[in-house]
Amino acid sequence: MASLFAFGLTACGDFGDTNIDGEHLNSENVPYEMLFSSAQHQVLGSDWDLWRTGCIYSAQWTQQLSSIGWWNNYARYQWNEGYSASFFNTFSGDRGALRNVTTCYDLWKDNADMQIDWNIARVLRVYAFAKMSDLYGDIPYSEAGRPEQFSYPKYDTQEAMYKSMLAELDEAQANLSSGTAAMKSQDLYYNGDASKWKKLANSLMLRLAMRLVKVDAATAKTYAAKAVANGVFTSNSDNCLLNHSGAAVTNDSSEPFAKIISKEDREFYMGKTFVDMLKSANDPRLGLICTVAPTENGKLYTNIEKSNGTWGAADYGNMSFASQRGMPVGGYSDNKESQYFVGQVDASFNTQSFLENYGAYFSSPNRCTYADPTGPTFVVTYAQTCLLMAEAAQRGYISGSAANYYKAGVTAAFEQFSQFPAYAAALTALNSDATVGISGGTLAAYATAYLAANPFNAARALEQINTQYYITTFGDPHEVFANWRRSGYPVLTPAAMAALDGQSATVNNEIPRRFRYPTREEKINTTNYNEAISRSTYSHGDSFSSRVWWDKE
Amino acid sequence: MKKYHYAHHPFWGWAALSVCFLCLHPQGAKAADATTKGKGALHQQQTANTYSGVVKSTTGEPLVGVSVKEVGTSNGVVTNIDGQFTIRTQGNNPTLIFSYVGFASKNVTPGGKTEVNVVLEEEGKALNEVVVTALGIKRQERSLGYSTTQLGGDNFQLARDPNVGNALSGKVAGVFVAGNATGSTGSSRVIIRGNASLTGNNMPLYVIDGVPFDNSNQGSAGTWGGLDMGDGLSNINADDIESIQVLKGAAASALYGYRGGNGAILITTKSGKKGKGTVIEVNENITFNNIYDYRDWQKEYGLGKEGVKPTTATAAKEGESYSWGAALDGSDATNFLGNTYKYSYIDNWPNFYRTGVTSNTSASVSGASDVATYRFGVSYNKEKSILPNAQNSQVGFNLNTQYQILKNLSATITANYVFDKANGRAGLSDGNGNTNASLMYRGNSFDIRWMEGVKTWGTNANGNEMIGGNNVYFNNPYWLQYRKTNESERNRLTAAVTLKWDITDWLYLQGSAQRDGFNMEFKQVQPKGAAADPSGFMSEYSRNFYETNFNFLLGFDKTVGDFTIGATFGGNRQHNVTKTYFTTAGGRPFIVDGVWSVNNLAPGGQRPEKRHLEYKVNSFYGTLDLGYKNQLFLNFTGRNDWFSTLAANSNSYFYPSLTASWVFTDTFRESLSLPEWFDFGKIRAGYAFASNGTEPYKTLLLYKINDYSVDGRTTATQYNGNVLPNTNLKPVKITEFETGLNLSFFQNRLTFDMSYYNKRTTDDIATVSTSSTSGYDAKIVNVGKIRNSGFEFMVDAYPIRTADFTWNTSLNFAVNDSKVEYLGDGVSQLSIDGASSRNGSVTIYNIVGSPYGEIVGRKYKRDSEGRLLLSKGKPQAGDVVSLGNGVYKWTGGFRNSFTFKDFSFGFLIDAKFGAKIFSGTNHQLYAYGLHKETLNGRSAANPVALSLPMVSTKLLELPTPWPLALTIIIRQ
Repeated sequence: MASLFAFGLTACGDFGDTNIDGEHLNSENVPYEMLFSSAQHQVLGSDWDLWRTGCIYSAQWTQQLSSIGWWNNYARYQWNEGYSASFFNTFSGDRGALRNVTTCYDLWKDNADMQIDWNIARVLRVYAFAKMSDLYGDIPYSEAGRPEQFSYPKYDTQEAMYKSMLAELDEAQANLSSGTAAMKSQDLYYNGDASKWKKLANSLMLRLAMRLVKVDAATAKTYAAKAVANGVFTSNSDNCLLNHSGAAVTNDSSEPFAKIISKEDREFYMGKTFVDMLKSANDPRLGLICTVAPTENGKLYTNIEKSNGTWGAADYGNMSFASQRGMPVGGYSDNKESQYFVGQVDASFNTQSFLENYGAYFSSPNRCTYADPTGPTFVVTYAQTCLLMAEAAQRGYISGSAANYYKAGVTAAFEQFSQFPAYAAALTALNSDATVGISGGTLAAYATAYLAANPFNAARALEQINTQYYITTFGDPHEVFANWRRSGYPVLTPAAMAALDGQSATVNNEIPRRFRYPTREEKINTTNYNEAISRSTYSHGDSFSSRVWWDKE
Repeated sequence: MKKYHYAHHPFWGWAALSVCFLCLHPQGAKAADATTKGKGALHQQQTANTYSGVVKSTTGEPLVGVSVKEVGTSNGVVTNIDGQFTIRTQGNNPTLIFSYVGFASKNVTPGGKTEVNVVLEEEGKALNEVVVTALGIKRQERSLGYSTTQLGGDNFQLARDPNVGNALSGKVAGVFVAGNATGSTGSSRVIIRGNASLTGNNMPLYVIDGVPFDNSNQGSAGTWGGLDMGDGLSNINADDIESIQVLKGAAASALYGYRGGNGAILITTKSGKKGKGTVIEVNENITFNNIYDYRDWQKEYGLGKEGVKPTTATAAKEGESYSWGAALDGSDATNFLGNTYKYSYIDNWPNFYRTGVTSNTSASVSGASDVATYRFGVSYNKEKSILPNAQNSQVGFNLNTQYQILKNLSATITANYVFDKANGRAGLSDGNGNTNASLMYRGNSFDIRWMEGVKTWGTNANGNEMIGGNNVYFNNPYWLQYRKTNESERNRLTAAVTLKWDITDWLYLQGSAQRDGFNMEFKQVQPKGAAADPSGFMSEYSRNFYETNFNFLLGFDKTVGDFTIGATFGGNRQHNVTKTYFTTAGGRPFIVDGVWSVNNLAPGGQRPEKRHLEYKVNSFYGTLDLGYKNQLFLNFTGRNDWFSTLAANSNSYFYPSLTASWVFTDTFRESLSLPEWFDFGKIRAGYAFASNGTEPYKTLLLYKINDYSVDGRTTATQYNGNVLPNTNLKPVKITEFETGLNLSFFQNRLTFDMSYYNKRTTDDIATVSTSSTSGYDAKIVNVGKIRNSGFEFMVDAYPIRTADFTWNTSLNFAVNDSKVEYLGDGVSQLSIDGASSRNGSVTIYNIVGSPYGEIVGRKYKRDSEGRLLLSKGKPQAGDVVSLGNGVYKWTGGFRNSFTFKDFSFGFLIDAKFGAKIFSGTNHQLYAYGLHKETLNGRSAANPVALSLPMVSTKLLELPTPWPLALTIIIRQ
């Protein structure tokens, strides 16, 4: 009996590894570079938060997309807590990009073997927090993503953040001249190539510098010049993008914007503002960006479940220039009984059969390019960088010709389409297009033709440059929204229907200037939240109408 | 012992509910000619005095098989078929103890007499009885310094609830029971003396024949719906229960240490009885269930919106779930199929629900020889649900044997092996997937039979789900019952082997190996063609759980003059493992129609996953019981637990208790000349420390590999459920003081039991919300402080007790007052995980300064005089406030049983007061225009009456749409 019930007094409290979950990784054995990869991926948004802050809000506010179905009230600037707050998802949880990048940042900082990795993490961390700050304004930065130290992080001012981020980028790029990071191919952007990261750091520095033109021109100038002197992107092959080869729309592996657009029928169509802008300039990119997709019972036909994310030729729809039609923007509804009924501005909706089948008439994002779930997500591009240099030159921040930078930017924007895996089908269709097609035309040929027809005009430089930025940044609604606020171009007319029922959350029913924080922050991180919104930048409190620091009126 | 055969109709006064409950106990093979041998003690050491006599019950019947033992020795005999016994004692002035299951034990000191005739009283009332206490240690009830209640097996056999936990309702003061109305496969929730912890499940420890028995809920419905996957107690067959001992407070359960803080419920199964020969018992019990129809809704306006009767299929679809149509006038209307029907009220319930049948069949054989007793029971339960195409069954085997291996070495083997199987567990909560909701919330001129579809499967000709409108989440109930399927199977073995060695007559050593465990498989299939999920979906898992305990106990018992000294010392090694195998996040879509298997899911939807939870607890414990003249008692217990779940340098915790009791009637009987009718009086007090369980892996940051790759590369992220773990976690600390009084009068015909307790919880483990910008939305901390104090009262009486007729009546009630005292610096409230309504924005919070479980939501904005403030004619939502408390403050029961010869009749009224319920159902009924109050404003005869309580503030209690057998809820 004694042997059955052997008890060792000394062994009472010794359980070995019992409390280590052998089925999962823990802080001792997790490959942190995989955490970093996750951050690189999730910082670009998921179909959850990009749907909300991206499509429902940013893209509708900037009128690149339009919904007259489910989401039309948000085009009228109605506030929805969950939608407005959704990008805070990337702070925590499984998606937790800001936490994961900060974990790697802190872990690698003092590790001599990981210095390239650390400097790469610095760049990604700046990208992540800048993106968040551009959406919301002041946010936790210095104390964020460090859960064991700070449960209730304070809100850094955007001003302090920007100064710190610009300096951080400058330091990081200096340490990223050559070599390969230890994480190697776990770096989803550049496979650990330090020289590429150096260019990204500087291109990002230029982007952040140019954000400040309204509020702090001196700093903008200093860092824009520094970025260009350090060395920014020099071709599309430098583009920072995340490929989604082999992606499936059933999980997070696919391009989030494309996943939303390709999967959800009758949700978002191309906005009339955007389509008309391309049409009026005879921009051949119209057929690369848009398509009139096939429909089934008036809804966009998707066979995405069958083919697991890849489209067959029949699914691409009609890409001809003449067929593209933008959906009215301005908060209209497809509900006949509603005071917002879209029939007020587009009489064709007054026909019942059109109303039931309007999916067959309007353009949606092209399934060869932006709506391809296996396509790339563009993070920072050469085209954007050239256009920012054009503006910097125009403003006298850097030397060189604004016209040349503009030309390089537009050309890069055209050529960038070749980075979509299925772009060839769209180009083939374009080459046979009756309106704008060039037989056997290349992307470069189209760019040349376009520039010839739309030459740089110094008198309208800022408008031209930023309109091109608006076009080439399609698919990254957050960046479109930020650059529109910064530059004021293209000039957008606020939603016509916003004033009707008092549900608009903006002052004078104007286009929102920022996102509201989650109410959870108000409840949980009350002191720090209150301190933030009491700052002078929040002239309208925590609302859509207050402006972030750099978005000075 | 005479076996009673009961014809029992517990549905007292509730015939209107059309719930019929019938118990049949066919004349089972009665004790097959009890050839009792009345054997003497097996090994007599010396010649001594001989005593003999007859043992009878209070009604004069001879009692067969009563154990007669000489106190302080292992010397004993049993009575024969005529109740006679003869015992030769070792001592010259022996004390004999007469004990018999179901009766109070009695000590008799014959003195000079050799004839000893004894009358034993039926138990539950007598206060000299020996009861089972923590760790199975038997003690005289009079010596206990805390409150405990014993319930005989008939409490669970006569009026049956499929779940033993639910059957406790109303029977024990201070024990609160809530169950889901989900029939035989459902779960119960038993809370003793209030909710002690914010995050723990607050349920007592269950122990069956000494084996800790896992009663974890295997799945429950939350805000967004789900199934009640049942718990452990539904695996216990009522016919196997000998008795249940409820240890209410920490003082009673402190020996269970880290898991004694919520009390303990000790279940003893039946065993073979010496002296009764071979006994075969057969029981059959059939219950019929019908849907309990509590609806009182408006029947004046039909399906539709904005006062319009649908005359097109489109309008019928839009109005599907609304009863805001025109007045029902029997005129022609059009349904969603485009067919014409008469626009009048239709009651869908009789056309959909069916009569459910539950049958329990059990058989047992028991008996004894000189050296062994045995009982083997087999049971088969089958339930046909009131929902079509749903049924479940359970087969159980129960074994309880005892062998006398050597004269001083005995072995006990107990085993309970159960197989259960359920098909079509009902979806609860949120409407999607909930059959009852999809039936209930339809426009009230909608005939559900329109949706039967092909083969009553609720399908269109193409095999897809037929829905009656445009909301794909508003299901076809036939589809839910016939096409969206779930099935589960579980087999469970709970067993123990115990060896006991009586070293001397005052010292024994006992060792035990115990195991409880189950394998469970679950599969849910949403086939292709569901309106909300056209490509189908399935989830499947297999779970393997076991807990083993190896323990020893050294026991010492000695009388020295007026003093008795009892002591024990023991130790236990506990090991718990739960392994779950499943596919990631369910899986979809199916590739080939009709093959509902994980092997038929599209790539990317079927990664296998495994969860492994393991922990160990090592313990040493001991007790010291001191008695003086059998009237003053002092008891110490102590237990030290070492946890694998805590940091190695701080994983040892000590849980002591101290209790005292004083039988003052014995002390003062002579000096104060207490009257004869004042049988017994005892005061008691105790103070104890305990905790409420532990969980593995709460101290370490975990990570997981994401179940997808990005551009061919693997990524990883947190695996802590978005909750930051705590390296310095401690167990919850529960301390409880209790005091009480037991009184007995008129030969135990009137007894009282009263208790007061004050239970404080500190270091409560709380999941405290943190800013998501920190990286985690919450963290685990030892911060909570909660207090539960209360009073329990029980009176039991036999107003009539004759040979032929007995009336026993018993009343108990308890009041528990809880208060959340502290939740951390600057934290004023914490929400309870998953406790929020889908509609109405109501969440259950724990708020500092308020009782546990406040219902928090919005009220309407009102002016200072209480009138609604309207905006554009509509009421406005006000601030978020506490709307009331959701935990019953007062609980009680009133039980009566009448026995006339071989027949008995009884009823129990179970009452709960002092809580509010937010009814999501009621909320929906307003929105859908089914609630009677929505008649206001629909016609000139019913003008708008805005003073009425409105949707979001309306709190009321609705019975569940399922018969609550035996329970009458008294509404506040």
